[in-house]
Amino acid sequence: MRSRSRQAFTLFELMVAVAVIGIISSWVFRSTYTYLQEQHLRQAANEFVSYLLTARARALREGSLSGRACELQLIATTVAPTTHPENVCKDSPRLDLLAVSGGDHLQITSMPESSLITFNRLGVVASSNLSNSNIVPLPRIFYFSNSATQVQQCVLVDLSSLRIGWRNSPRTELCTYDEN
Amino acid sequence: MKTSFCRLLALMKASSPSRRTVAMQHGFTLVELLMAVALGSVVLASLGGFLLVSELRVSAKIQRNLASKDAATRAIHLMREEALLSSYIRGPVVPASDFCDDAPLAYVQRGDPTGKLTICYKLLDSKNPPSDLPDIYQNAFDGQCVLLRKGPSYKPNGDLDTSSDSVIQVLLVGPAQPCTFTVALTSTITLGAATYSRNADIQLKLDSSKPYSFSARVPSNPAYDGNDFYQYTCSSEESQAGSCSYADLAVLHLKQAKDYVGATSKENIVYFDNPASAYTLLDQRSGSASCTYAQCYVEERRGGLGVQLSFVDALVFTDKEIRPR
Repeated sequence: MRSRSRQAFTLFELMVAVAVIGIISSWVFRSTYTYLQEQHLRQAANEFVSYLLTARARALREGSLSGRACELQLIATTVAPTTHPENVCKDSPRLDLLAVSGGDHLQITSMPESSLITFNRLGVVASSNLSNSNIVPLPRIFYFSNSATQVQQCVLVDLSSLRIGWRNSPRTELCTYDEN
Repeated sequence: MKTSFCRLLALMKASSPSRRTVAMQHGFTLVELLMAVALGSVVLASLGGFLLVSELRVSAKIQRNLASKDAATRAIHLMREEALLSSYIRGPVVPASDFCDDAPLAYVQRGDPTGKLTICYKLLDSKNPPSDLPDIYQNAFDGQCVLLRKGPSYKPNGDLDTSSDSVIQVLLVGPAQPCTFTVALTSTITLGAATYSRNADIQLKLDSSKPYSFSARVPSNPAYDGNDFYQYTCSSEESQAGSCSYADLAVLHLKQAKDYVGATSKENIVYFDNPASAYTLLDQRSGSASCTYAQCYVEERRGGLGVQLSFVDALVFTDKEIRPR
């Protein structure tokens, strides 16, 4: 009588428990992975803005007397100064956004399409560049995305302001920007 | 001796807890302990979470304030720099026909009466946004204070790109409204529907913070008294002959003082509204077509302006700068 009341779990009960734990674990793992990938994107956007702020400060400091500018180029996921002779930033180190963010599949696109950003001696973004005289209108938005999440980070580069925002998916055209 | 021992034994027996007392002094059960730990954890976690969230909010607010002050400083820097590129400052035009007309602050570039190069600043009215506000700005501001700039864009060398169209750009995004942007022009002259000046006292107030007050001054010749503008109107003969070719002379001008002797204690710079080709530079004493540091007579080729300059270090035209020797 006593031994009957202390019977163990049945195989079915164990299997159900294991299945439930598995489902919950996979959901938690998936959510955590997605969250981490979003954080990597955010980190990449922050690093990008930080790099641009440094470039702007340098253009203000060193371009004011000479009338030169600080020109940067985004190639895939790397930002680097161009080698133009009038570029005051040409000795700046390059920044590998994929490496500093720690993400997996970083992709950066811009709208309107332009890989060059030039800060002039006034610290504002020029509409044309040292290496290319074509006019690219402002503002420009850089979208940071990866395959693990639909959420994208947006970096808005305007005449004299840089803002970070996000959008839920590429289908949602407009980004929501952080408050200043 | 035996009696004493028996008494001590009896006393010890009396002072020791009975079985009943021991049974009543049992500790917490495991369930009670677990519940206490769980409740304690919930209370501590709530408190910790509250403190953490408060700290994060305060930190974020400080960051926003810093970013906002930085943005305001840069916007003011640009507004002052752009004043230095301009010929005069214009107040609102009544009635307003375009974006810049009802802007409280507009800079008119030298030699640009057409208004193509006018740069103006205005707060965004979110309920009534300008029709030419780029789509990309839609949804970008949530009740925030936004200072807009309309004007030509910039070249990499820091010059205005005079070949580009004027576009609206966001100069500053501050905290939530209300914010104010007020401009007071000093030493003004009214011509037509607008008021012009060379000096403006500007106040920018974001949120409930202390206002940023600054002055914008366009480059002015010495002894400016607010009355050195004049409006040139082509004569009927000129119009008929088609010789009124200086379209930029037909609207508004800066009239130089008739004679100007530079002070020895400072660098003397005189600004002109048109390209150097619109003027004749003469050394009046010799009559030769040269302009010396000691004496330089500047005359508009078409007539109207003549100014005798002495000891002037630089003559700044819209296209170039001349430093007489």
